[in-house]
Amino acid sequence: MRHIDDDERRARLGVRHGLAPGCGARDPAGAATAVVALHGTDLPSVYLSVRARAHGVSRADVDAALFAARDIVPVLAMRRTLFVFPRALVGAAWGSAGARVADAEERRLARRLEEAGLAASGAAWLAAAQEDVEAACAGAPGGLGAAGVRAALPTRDLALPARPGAWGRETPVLPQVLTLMGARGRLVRASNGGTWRAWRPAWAPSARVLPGVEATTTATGYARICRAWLERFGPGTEDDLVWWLGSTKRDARAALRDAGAVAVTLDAGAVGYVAPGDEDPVGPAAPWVALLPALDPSTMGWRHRGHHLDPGDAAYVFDTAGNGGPTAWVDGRIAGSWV
Amino acid sequence: MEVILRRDVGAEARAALRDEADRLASWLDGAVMGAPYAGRQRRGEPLP
Repeated sequence: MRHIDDDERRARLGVRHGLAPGCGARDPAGAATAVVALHGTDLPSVYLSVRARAHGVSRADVDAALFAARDIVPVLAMRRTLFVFPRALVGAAWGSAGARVADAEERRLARRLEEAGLAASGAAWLAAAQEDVEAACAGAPGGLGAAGVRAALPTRDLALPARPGAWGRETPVLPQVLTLMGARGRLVRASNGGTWRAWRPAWAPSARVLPGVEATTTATGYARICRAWLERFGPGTEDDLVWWLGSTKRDARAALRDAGAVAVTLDAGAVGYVAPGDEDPVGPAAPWVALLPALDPSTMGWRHRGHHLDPGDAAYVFDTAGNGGPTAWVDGRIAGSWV
Repeated sequence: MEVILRRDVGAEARAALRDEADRLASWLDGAVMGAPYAGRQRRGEPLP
């Protein structure tokens, strides 16, 4: 079995993630492809992650890729996190990690609607509401934001009461319906009413915005995303993949099998996996530095990060919720942060 | 823009990071990035 040590893992990271000299991307889609998908919860991170990998790209170029050409597409997927995928992986994301999120959201919302006495059958109410929401968004040329959907569907504009004894206020249901429809792939964030600093999405039907893009089956979706992850983050362990996918161990194992993953050994004695045909050694990259934003995929891409982050530095880079902050990199290692 | 290093990376890497910080600041064109933990990072404290 091939052994891939930490030095080679850092070299692979620099080359595969578009950070080493001569390995950069030409455009936002190339930058997203280099890391499978960009973290999109914090919108500025999308722009800064692209900039770090495609130096000639402007903010306007990222806007155009997101909302005009749609070369990169936001999808709520792994770990209930918003990612920005290259278009070629959107169907796989909808069919696998997105569907898992949507299923969980749908079950949770249905139960809450019934508990609150707002619907006899939460599932039936949600099914009808999704039809109404899709029709409302389809009827608006630029799509609708959450406020627009609520205004367009006043009879559907229910609110869930705060849980007894819990802090908080009642929460409107329709924004949560938009979230699950986005994860499912029925709606997409067609434009952004905010600046590049914050999301204020207008939602439109996927069939109109991304014609021809269809959700895959669960197994096909996980296998495609796993294959992409192996190509960009390999070697990684099964534990890394389970965490990164936010999937069950069974789905991750099936994805590794379906993707044709090849086992290798790692420095800590663990078994890792690479994409089929990717067993050949990757030599040291030319020296490189990078300033990556919070939640950048290179920082976040594995559960076990000892090859790029000194364990003693983890508390200075990650908060206790597991969110990676802005990082300064030297030759494949996180050497500090930036503000 | 300030780079806060947790280790000695050598003079060349430090200079390269300074150059990269200048390029990033230029790209941001005056926009200030909101960093929720900036104070802790500057003081070299763990994140909450």
